[in-house]
Amino acid sequence: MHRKSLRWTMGVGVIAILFVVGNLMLFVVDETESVVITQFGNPVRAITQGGLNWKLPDPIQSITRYDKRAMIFTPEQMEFLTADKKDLLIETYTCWRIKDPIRFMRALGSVPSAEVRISDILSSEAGAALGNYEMSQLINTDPAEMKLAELTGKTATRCSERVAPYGIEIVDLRIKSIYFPQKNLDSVYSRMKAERERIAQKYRSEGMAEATRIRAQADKEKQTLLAEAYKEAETIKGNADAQAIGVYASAFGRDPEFYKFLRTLQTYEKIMDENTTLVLPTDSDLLQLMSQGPAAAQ
Amino acid sequence: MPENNGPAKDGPAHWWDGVLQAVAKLRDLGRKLSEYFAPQEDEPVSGVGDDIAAAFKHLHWGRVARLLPAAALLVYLGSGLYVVRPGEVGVIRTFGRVTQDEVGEGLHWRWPWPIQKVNRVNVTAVQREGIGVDIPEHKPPICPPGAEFHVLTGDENVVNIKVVAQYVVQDAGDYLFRVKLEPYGIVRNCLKHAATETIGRLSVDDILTRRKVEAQNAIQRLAQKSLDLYGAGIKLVNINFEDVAPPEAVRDAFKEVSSAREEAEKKIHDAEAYRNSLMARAQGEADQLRTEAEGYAVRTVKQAEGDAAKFLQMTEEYRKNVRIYSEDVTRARYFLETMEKIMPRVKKYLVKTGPGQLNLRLFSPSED
Repeated sequence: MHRKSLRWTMGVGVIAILFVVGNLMLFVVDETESVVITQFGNPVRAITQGGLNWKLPDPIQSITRYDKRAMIFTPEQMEFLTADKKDLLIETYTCWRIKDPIRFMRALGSVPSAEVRISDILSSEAGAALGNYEMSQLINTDPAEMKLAELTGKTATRCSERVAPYGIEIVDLRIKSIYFPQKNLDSVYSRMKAERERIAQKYRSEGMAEATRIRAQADKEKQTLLAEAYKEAETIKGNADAQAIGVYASAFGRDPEFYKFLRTLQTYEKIMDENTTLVLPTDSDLLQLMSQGPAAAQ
Repeated sequence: MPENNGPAKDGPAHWWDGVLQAVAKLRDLGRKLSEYFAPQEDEPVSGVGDDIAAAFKHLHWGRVARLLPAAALLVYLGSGLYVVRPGEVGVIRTFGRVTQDEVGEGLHWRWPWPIQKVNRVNVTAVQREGIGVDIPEHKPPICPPGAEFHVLTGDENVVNIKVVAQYVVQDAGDYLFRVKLEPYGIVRNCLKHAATETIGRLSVDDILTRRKVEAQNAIQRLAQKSLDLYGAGIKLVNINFEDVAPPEAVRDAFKEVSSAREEAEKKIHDAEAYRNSLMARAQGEADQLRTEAEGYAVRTVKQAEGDAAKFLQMTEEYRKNVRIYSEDVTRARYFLETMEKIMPRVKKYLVKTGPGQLNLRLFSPSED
């Protein structure tokens, strides 16, 4: 009975000892972490993969944990001047990560100080880069002119080079907003309004011009149409008249003398009406019987 | 009870004697404690301690002490059970490193902490984030609530946009462990950049009207590219412009352009209507002219033909008469017939001309 409980308590004791030893010497590196093992303050080893690791207990060796994940740094808006002296508010974000934890520890030591350093480098590089580009290269409807991606690419490369000594890697650098400073907004709005007014005016005047043109065109077409029709009509009438004349000529031409005679008689009939007064000499053919008696008629 | 676990008096001292001594002392302590809790016959039962002692009196402390570790071990191992709900995926980290990232739904077991840890991620729920709009379920807001998002267009105009993106988790492991920022924060930053770059290529008229859908697609593509580059494990499923509008200060000027264009179109439309009706009427007039001329032509020719025919007929008759009566007689007859028609109508004055007197007698006196 005693040996059994002895072995039992021994077992418990061994587990307890293992537990304590484990706490002092074993440690877990999480998926999201890198760990630097420092010996008496000097970094000796960096572990960047998650897993179970061992070290000598404190104070011989201690561990410092760093976040291995990609971090997104979003500094405040910065004001920059472009090459053509335009004042712009630029908001950026930088995706960065700790690539070399030992170097990081030696040079910076913490994420806030890293952010300060990145911010400085970023503002100087971005300012320099923007100073080389005109605003029309940042925003442009012509894709050949729009060089925003090129600008951020160049800035990212330059920043990457400058942060490499700190054990940092710049994954990506992007401009997330471009805007005008408050003090320039009024003039920007005025310009926009003026441009809109100009466009509105252009629509109005173009519309008016087009409408007038259509109307004038319509009037002209109408005149042309009617003139054409008139010409055609007159031609038809003329042809008809000619044809009629031809008909008359060929008919009356058969006996022009008789035509003259007949036609004159018809004219007498037409022109002498109730209002006409005839003065007839008695020696006219008509009245010859009256003055000369029937014997005169031959 | 007499203990004979004391240090061995005979034989060499072993290194575990000190340990055994400590253990013996612990057992003494335990015995004293159980004696303390055992009820005293000559004392009245009172107090909580006596009640508890009475309740647990039947337990054998030794057995309990032996069973306790086993029970603790069972509880510990039992804590490794976990449930993955439908729509979720489980990710297991073993000593910190991701060893399984696609645990499906159901009841599972893993080694409890500190050996293994499980995180569950909902991979089917669609989440929303926006720029220029407030998404109330995200606290704290990364930009102040109600803040407008201004973007410059390719032709140096400004528009305010409200964009809402919907996204799901694409890779649970990446989603959890690759980027240090709330997912909606990552999405928001990528969206802003994508919007800035996309709208910076379009004119203000394009983004307000014609190419909105194209812009939405471009923004989705660009933002997704960034998300993939950072390993965020997020997939954008939809991007939507809730609003695109010029800033308040210039809104009227923009409206003015719309109404100017409408006016212009109306003027042109009216002019075209005028032209159509004018031409229709003109065509009618033209046709009428032609028709009238044709009518005149027919009439004239017909009349001529009629007149000619009549003349020919009269000529025929005249010739016929001439053959019978002689030309002079016929002509005289025609003449007199005409005079008969005229004379009754006109006023007549007879004037004597020529020699002689007017003799109205029918018969001359020289005849007897």
